[in-house]
Amino acid sequence: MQAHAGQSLIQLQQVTKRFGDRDVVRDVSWNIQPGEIFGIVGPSGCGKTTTVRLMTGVYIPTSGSVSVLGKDPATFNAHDREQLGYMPQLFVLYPNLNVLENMRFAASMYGVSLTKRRKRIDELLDFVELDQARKTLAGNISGGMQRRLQLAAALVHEPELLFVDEPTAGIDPVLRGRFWDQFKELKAMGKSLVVTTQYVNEVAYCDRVAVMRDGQLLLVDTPDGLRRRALGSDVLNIRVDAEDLRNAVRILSRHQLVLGIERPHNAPLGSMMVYVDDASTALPELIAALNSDPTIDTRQVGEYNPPFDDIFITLMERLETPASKEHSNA
Amino acid sequence: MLKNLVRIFAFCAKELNAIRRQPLLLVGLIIGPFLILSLFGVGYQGEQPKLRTGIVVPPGHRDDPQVTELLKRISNTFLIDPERHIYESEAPAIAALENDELDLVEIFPLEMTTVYSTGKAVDIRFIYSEVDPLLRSWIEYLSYTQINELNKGMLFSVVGQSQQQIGTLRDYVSDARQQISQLREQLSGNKRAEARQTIRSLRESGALQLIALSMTQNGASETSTSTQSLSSLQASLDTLDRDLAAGGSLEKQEQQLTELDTRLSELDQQADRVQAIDPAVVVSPLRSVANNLAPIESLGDITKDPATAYVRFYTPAVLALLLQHMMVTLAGLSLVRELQQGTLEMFRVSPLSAFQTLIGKYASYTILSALIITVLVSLMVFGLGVPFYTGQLLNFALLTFMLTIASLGIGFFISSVVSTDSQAVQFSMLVLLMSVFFSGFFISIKSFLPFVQNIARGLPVTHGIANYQQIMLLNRAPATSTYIWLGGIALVSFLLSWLIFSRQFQRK
Repeated sequence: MQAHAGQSLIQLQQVTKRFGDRDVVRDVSWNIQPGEIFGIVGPSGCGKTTTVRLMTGVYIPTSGSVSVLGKDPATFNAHDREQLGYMPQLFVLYPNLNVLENMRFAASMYGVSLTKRRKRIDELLDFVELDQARKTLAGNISGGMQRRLQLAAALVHEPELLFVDEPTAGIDPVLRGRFWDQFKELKAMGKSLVVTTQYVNEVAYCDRVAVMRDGQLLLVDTPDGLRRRALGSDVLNIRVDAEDLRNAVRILSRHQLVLGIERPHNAPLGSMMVYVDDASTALPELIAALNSDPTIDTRQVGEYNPPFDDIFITLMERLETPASKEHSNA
Repeated sequence: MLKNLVRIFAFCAKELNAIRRQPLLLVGLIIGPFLILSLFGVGYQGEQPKLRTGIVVPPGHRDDPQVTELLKRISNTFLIDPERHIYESEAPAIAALENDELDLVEIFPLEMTTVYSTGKAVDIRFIYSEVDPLLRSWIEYLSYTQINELNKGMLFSVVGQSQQQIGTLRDYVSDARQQISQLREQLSGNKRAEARQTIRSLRESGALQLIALSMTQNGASETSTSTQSLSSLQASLDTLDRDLAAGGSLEKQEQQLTELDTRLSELDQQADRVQAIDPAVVVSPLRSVANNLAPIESLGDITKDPATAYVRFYTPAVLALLLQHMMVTLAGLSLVRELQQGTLEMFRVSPLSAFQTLIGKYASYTILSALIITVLVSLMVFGLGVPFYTGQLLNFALLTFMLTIASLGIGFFISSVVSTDSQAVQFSMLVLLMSVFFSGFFISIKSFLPFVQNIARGLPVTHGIANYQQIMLLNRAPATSTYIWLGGIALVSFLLSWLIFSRQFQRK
């Protein structure tokens, strides 16, 4: 089963999930396109896992509609489910089986025939770098290896759409990077991925990102779009000789593409942040403007990319203001 | 279809691999019961324990030959230390009982030696301190049988003495009949003076009085008519003597002497019959002869080798109980562990259904059951000499299969209603406890009220024990009702487990 051409792979329309009298997910809507890595980011308890469960059909929405691969997940038959891969937040395979036996179990669970599974398992264990540990009990391998085993198990039946719930939670940065490398490889193979994470800087690896808080969707955008929303515009980082700073500011502040100039307190001498609409257009023009004054010694010019942690904090602060709330609700 | 089979058998490999990785569990399941039965065979004595008994005899009678004889008689069933546990007063014996040096104190009163002269029954007291109802019944039964044996012994002795006295009585009868014969000859020869001399001699010898007295002492009711006749004969002798002195007719007296001789002859015959009877027959004229129609040769000779017989008898029951407990526990832990581990969430996203999950687990544990029972039965047959009729192999396999799926059903039902594995273990233990009491393992289910018997039939092991015994010990096929019961238990428990597990499996 495939989404029709031009149709979203996943559509959520005003989805709410209530447990008791509490809305765990409230009024969430988005579309996910085939072949993209869609990230869901937000603090612990913000409703990421519940939303993933709504998309996998483990939960049925209290209101709103969910469509995955063109169908309501609650009505999925066995064949539909074979198109999904799911890596839960925790390691839920069997610690008293070895790596290979767990892979075989996962393959059998999805009905992969005996003839196909051997090659597929070999490939996957190689892909997640667990080939050497295939005879080791799953309970005896490290937490990171268990995550990779769980990922391999989710891929053993070659799903079209993979849901990965907090794959990098609690593991070291090096391994996190390897996970994202593997996700990018899967994307290159044409797979679609929905990945949740608490690590804000990981949104940089996604094609689009949904930011959630308290069960609500705050926004959906590309990583660049998020940056722009946080900073209000593109930002260039320009550094000149400290003695030339006054001249440089004078020239730039008169330039029509410059929206504003800021000099951070803890920045090195001669540094300034220059706000522009579009960094790629403005950058060559501003360099030319600075070069028009031969007395100015330009030391460094480039686009400023603040860490996503900072961007996320800025976004949160902005969304906290009443005006932003009104804007968000609108 | 093929994919469904692959999904179902996913659990076979998974469960079997998981169990294979637990060598201690396998040892427990196979070697454990074998060792327990072996130890039972080696250690079981095949009889109830002898009770450590203290005897209280009347003061001064410790060395009495009667006491010695008594101790000899009861020492077959009671353990008596003649050096330490013969007392002449109750107090030290009761103290020993309270200190757990003795199980029983038996008190013989002085009146026991004079029971026949006083004509009153004498109480022999048995004192014990026991809570266990089975041991209490055992002590009371032993006390009863001991008194029975002692009574029989005393009766035997009395009958022997009576038969000796009957011998003396017959001497008197013979002597009297000789004199009566002589008197009749004298009367027919009209030798009146000699006849009167014989009558005097007969009276003086007192033979007739002795006969009457002997018969009265022996209390023989059969001879009471003869005793009355002897009294009238005394009177007849007096009349005859008077008639001889008066010179009257003697016809009537001769006729009386003939009657008397006839009666003495009858008396002699009766005495002969009584004397010929074995005193043991007089004491116990009836004996029980029981015939067991069950072909129990397979158990061996229980009198010569009780331990082997008991091991062989209990092996089928142990097999059935073990199989049920193993299946209930494994299945009981199975579903709840999936829930606790979080694998259920993975199953919900996958194409697996609750039905496939359950059937897969049924299949894996049934294979495990077959493997374990095969090894276990082989060990018991070849290691312990437990009988197994190869002609019953198919019935054995079918019964094992039915017992397995019925037990698994109960286990899965437990697993579907509990929320932690410790709860599952607790419920499995409750099923085991219930099985030990109600399945016929130790207590026959016929000992319970009918409604409790029906509850007991709701346990797979009840049918397992009865029918494994039929197959292994009696070479008999199980009744159809066995399969109906087990099939019913399996079906109902499966449907309930499936229903509840499906609700847990359901998307929410």
